[in-house]
Amino acid sequence: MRNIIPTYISGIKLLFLKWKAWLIVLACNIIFAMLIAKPFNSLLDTVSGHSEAPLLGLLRFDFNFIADVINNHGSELQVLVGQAAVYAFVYLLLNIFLSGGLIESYLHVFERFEFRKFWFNCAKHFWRLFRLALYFIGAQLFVLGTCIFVYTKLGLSPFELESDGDLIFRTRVIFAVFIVLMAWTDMVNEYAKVKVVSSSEGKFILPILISVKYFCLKHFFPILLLFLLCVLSFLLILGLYSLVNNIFVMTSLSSIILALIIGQIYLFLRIGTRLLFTSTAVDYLRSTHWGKDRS
Amino acid sequence: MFIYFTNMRSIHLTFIFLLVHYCAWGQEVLSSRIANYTIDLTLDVDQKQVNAVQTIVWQNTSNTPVTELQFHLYYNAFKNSESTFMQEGSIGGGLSSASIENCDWGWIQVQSIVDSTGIELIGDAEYIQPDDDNDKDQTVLRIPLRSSVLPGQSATFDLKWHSQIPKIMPRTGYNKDYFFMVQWFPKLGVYETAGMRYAEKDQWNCHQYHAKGEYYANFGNYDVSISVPNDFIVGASGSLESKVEKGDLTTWKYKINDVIDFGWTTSPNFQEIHEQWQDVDIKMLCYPDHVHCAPRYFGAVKAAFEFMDNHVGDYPYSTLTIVDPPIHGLFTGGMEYPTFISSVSFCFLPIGIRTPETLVVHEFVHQYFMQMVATHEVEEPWMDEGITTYFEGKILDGYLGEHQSTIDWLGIKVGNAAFNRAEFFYSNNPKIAPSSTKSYEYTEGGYGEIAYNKTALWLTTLEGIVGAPTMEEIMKTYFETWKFKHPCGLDFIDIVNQVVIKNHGSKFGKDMNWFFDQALYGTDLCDYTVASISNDPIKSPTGYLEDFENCTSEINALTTFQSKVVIHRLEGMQLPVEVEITFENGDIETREWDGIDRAITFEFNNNHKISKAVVDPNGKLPIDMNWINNSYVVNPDKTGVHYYFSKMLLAAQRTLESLMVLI
Repeated sequence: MRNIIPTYISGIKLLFLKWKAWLIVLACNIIFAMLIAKPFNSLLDTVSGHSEAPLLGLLRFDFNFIADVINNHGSELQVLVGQAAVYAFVYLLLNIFLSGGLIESYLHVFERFEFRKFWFNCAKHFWRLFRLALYFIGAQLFVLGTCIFVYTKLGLSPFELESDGDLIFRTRVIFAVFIVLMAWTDMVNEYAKVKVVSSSEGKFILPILISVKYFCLKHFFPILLLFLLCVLSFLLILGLYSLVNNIFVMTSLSSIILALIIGQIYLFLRIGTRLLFTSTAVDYLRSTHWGKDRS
Repeated sequence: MFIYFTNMRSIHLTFIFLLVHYCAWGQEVLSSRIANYTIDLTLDVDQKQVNAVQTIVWQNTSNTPVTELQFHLYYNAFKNSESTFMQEGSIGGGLSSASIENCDWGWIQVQSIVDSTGIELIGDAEYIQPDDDNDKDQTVLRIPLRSSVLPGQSATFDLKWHSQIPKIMPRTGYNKDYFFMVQWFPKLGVYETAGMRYAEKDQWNCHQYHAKGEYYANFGNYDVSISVPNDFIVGASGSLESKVEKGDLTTWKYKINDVIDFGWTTSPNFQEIHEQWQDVDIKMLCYPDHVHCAPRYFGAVKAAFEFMDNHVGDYPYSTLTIVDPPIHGLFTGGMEYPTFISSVSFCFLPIGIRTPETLVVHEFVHQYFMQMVATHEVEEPWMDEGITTYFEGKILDGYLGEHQSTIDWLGIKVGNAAFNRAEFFYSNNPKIAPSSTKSYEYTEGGYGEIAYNKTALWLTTLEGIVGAPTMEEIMKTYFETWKFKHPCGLDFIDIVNQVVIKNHGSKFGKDMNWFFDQALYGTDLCDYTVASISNDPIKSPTGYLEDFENCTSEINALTTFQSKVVIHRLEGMQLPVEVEITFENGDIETREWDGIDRAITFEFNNNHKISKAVVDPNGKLPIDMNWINNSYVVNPDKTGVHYYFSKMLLAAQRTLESLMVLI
């Protein structure tokens, strides 16, 4: 238990030590976001480039403008939304691909970061991590489906409820259960990813998954605390960004650029907190001698 | 002398009659009081049934004898799956499978109807279907009379009836121990005399109960005694006259005059909260977990009282009851009956989601438009729902702010009028029917978007054309002329024409019918756009200008420009529009266009180029479906587009990053 804070700090150090990997993830995020946002921007420019209507958006939330775009150009928007969904799916695959390179770079903490090696490791572990991702998407869907099933079976039809207070109470209970189960799934997922990459021998990942589950059960509290520290880091960054965002008003081109820069800093840190889950998992596993005491 | 005394006697008798009439009801006679009801009922809360005796005093105001009566039996819409109401598809899609298994249907049965001579008429009664051929529909009961009701004569009928209350039906019904009782008793249709609204001859106007559209009735007085278990609290139209406990039951006696209907509700869980606006007692009935919503309701409804009082007319009643249904009575929310309205709220609803305010203001405005100005909700729904939505927007935008009166949450701000506009244009087919369509003829959808939203839009557009002061005068005149009467669409148009001609002469033509032909009776949309702007330098003339020998070939650009602005009408609706043209030096010129042709070009010779042109610069025509193309800037400032791009980019980045939780 006493190793938690040092592990958390080591995780952060690891992040900064491998900052190039961190930047690659951010760059991918920016590129894919551009691929999604640019066609919307082109459409907007075509339909309103010579109009003064978009300028009102700088003064206030301009519902009329948004509604007019949706109502008069809905079919074009639908195509773009479909396209965006495809990009999002590819982005998901890309991040599974990147996981292998990232984890390998965290595992070999004292090695110099090399792009060639990074891409090689990405390719090397892709299929096994892809299969693992499918398992976990399945697990998350199972958790979600179970919670929805229980929720509906609780008699939540508005016509059966005594009051909306009942609805709130039951929603809170189910939501809490959902969060706990999802957190557990995520914790196991994070350690499983590291184990899959670190023990690259063998085609099958199911034995690794089972051993990681036992490992997580045995080390439940330290892992949970590490997980919560990472969640707290994320919430802290989110809170700070919300604070800055609320103060900041975009009224001119320079303020828009500034907002974009602040947005990128936020995204960089947010990606960092995601990678922190992995880096702390690597460090924790290392501190337990790769879980050999059990797996 | 005899004649003198006879006349004097009749004058005195008339005076005494009027005095008694006045004193008996304790207030001024506001309406014709054609159909008057006294009902004494007992609610069986275990069986969910009502047993009642009812006396109707009805007056024949036509010039012909009336030989039959026609009653609405609304509750029979819930008798089975074959009623017209159910066949048309109710708001909730009918009963749930569990309710079908439990047989939670509702019905009403008139057991006896006796005329003033003591003759039982129920044996001759039959169900009729004036709107369709659905012989399974039992929502209109025809009762032939043994002796006709002569012109000018009043007749009294005593009824005995009982009903089974349906479970959670749209507008009415019970769930658990909550009862919302509206459209609940045998109610006479309207005997329309020739010339009244669209009637060509004296006839009953008594539609079946449809899924869309509610009711139409004569004005009258209601005296209703409601007996419920002692722990139940009753709220109803009108004011509470007495409350008498006898055994296990308490009888709540409510009275109200000069109204077209009566509704009531009861539950042992109700909390009663009172507020005052001038002399009006505003009462809110809600379950304990909704008490905190009271300030939202009272704030909004008081703003509505103020607005309607200042801009339309007086509220003549002494009470208003707002019912906030519990979650299991959700379907009864958002309804309007005389001095008795229902809204909807949830205790988890954020303050920035203005559903309670919107509903309570909307239902309150119905006290004016269709309660006092008693239009036909089924035949001309635009006259109550549309006009009400128009005022709803004005009141809420004034009370909560033009840009945030419907939603002000998480940075999203939406005004009421803007929301209604977007809702209309977002509909599957905004051209599906004209606003003048009857409620039950919206068989392919569009009822809400057209009867409510489109009407509000074209009323706001009319205000933009004729000006706000004229529009206010129109509405005031319409209300004053037709309160406690039954106008039709043509009567509204007449008022508009009168006021517009009085205030503007022939500026808009000999009348405004051209507007109503398009907005009310037509389905065309409206879209004006600035198609192009050109600024061509005027060049010096070239060629053989003076004679056949000297050719001028040098082209000299003068400092004057021939500038053109081309405006297009993209849709069918033709409305007069203003076009504002701005020159590079900041000069502004305004042109008016009747908007009839498909396109128009405005030409200028000026030392400065045109930098911008805007159609309808003041947004007077919200019925224009696309405001984005209303302006054209030659050298546009793209900051707005960049703003939306940056927002989209950051949103896409955040969304992509959020997806990572999956892997």
